[in-house]
Amino acid sequence: MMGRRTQENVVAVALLVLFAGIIWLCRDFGPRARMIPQPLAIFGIVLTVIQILWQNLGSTDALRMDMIKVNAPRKAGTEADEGSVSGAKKPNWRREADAYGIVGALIVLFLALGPIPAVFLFTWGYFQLSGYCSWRAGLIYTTVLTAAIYLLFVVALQMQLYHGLLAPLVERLR
Amino acid sequence: MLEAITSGLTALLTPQAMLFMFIGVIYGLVIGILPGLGGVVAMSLLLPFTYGFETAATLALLLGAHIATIWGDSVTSILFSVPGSAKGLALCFDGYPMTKQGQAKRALAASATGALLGGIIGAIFLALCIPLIRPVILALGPSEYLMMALWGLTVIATFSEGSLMKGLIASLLGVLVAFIGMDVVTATPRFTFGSDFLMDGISFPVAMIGLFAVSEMMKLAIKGTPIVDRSLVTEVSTVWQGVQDGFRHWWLVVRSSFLGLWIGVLPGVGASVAGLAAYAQAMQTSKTPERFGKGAVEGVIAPDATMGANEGGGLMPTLAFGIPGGESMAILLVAFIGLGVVPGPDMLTKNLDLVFSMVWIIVIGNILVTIIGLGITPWLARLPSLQANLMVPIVLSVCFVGAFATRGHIEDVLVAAVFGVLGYLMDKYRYSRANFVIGMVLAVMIERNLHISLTLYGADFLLQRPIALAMLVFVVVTAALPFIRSWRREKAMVAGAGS
Repeated sequence: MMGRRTQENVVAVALLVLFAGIIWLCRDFGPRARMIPQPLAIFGIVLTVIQILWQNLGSTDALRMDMIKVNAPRKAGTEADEGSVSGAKKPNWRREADAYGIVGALIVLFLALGPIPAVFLFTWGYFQLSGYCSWRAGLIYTTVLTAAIYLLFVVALQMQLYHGLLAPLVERLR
Repeated sequence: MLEAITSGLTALLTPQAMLFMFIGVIYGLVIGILPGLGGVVAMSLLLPFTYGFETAATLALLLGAHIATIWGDSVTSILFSVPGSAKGLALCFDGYPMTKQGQAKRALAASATGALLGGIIGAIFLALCIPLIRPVILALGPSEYLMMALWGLTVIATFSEGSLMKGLIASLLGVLVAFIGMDVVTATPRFTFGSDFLMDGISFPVAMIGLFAVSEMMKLAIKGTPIVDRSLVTEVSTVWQGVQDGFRHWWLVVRSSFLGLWIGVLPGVGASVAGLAAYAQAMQTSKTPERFGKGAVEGVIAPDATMGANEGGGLMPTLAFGIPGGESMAILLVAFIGLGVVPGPDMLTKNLDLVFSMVWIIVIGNILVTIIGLGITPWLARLPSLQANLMVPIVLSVCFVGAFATRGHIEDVLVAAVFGVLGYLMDKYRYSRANFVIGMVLAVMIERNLHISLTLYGADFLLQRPIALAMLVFVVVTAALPFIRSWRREKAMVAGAGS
């Protein structure tokens, strides 16, 4: 596994490439259309280079300039909690890959079948794979959820349904 | 005037108007809780049902629904860190930590109370100030709006938890993402790669669903335990505590309400900016800013009070000049046309009773939302203790359907997923998602007003617009103040250590 600093460097280099790409794309725009994006992308490159230098030359703690601390009166021996959201626990790569897989699976189902069948299959499948409940209970929960989503979005909010990429194939088989 | 106040209230006290208000509030709460859908969707879907009824009843239905979406948005931000729409973003920063500490009831009640008080202050201000605010609005042009947007950017420093450098990079990314699509000034497609879908730009609610809702569910799937594990954290707060908090921090409520009113009065600025600005001012003026981001109740009260008051402010330019203060006010204008009401200066003479009806709708609607909200808070507070394996599929499904429902494009579901992964990575590597969103919100406002200012006044537009110049000085001072305070504090510490 990559160390934290290496991961941070990979992210920073990806950002550099992104900002450079934006500058390159801006060449095709007129002077007014690129008036703001181009200087911002250049500024982004400058900031990212500083960030890369900072995170490699100094200690990681030295990189952080926490505005909560800047605004707060300093008290000896107190350190601001490092972010409530991100990361008290470090996820292992397997769980992380699972999380990407969950989002990916739902996207594939959405594209292939459309929203309502995708919700039904994804939710039921998730309950089964995670072992959250028996298949019968899962079926009941899933049916209730799918019906609720259908009533709310399709009936009440009049959402136009998308039938998925497989719909033409099914039509042809008929 | 007293007669108009009374007749405005009388028009609302019919069974039809009260029933419509109740339906509107319940409907608005449901829509507000659904990810990606906010007041605009709520009002636009009601529009076809508004013709042929009493004018007061129609407005009660529309405004009641719109008011209710404010608290509906806050609910999911506080409980799951999933903002129902952009407005609810600021509630995630302290509301969600409060939930994780077993104070969900207190946070929800404080949020409802803050919105109620802000809404009432906004309504009173609307009633009193329509004639006074006219010259102020007319004095402001694109240059001043540009300065307002730049002032909004100074908020970025507040949200740069961790590295300020990363915070700035995140906000730059947000600005650049907002430029995807057709440039409205030059009609140039930017960063669209020939895609028709990208010509419309990235939908803001869809990006929000991805950045916050999808990424939070990814984190929950990785963590594998409920948001609040009741075996470790018990619910220690009460609804009454939250109500008391709202009144105890009355000065914060008043300040935040005036900020919301001011932002509401300015056409096109929007409640999402208002909520973030309120959070920033609450933190910057607090004696204990170190508590913010870790479950400070002030961080919940301030955005809600601001967004509550924002409605009154938003109605002002809509009624007085026919200039909508935001998207939802534009829908209200459409409803006015259907009802045969012409907004403008005549509203203050010929239709003053209708103006006061709207003032009463805001007051009664807010009271109704608060009563219902406080009533259901104990049940809502239990939701975060549901198992992760139950929450993840349900919330992800609703989020993706919500993303699709926003514009009816299947590509939006892909966008939500991409932003979900982006949000997860940003959170993991500490690039502030809030800054990204602020950048997205303000980008178009900055670019459009800069172009108009340059066209109207030339490159030296600041010298020709003294108000804008004064605002720029204010922006610089506001941005520099935290650094000066920090420098002085460090200097005092060094002096203290030396002696």
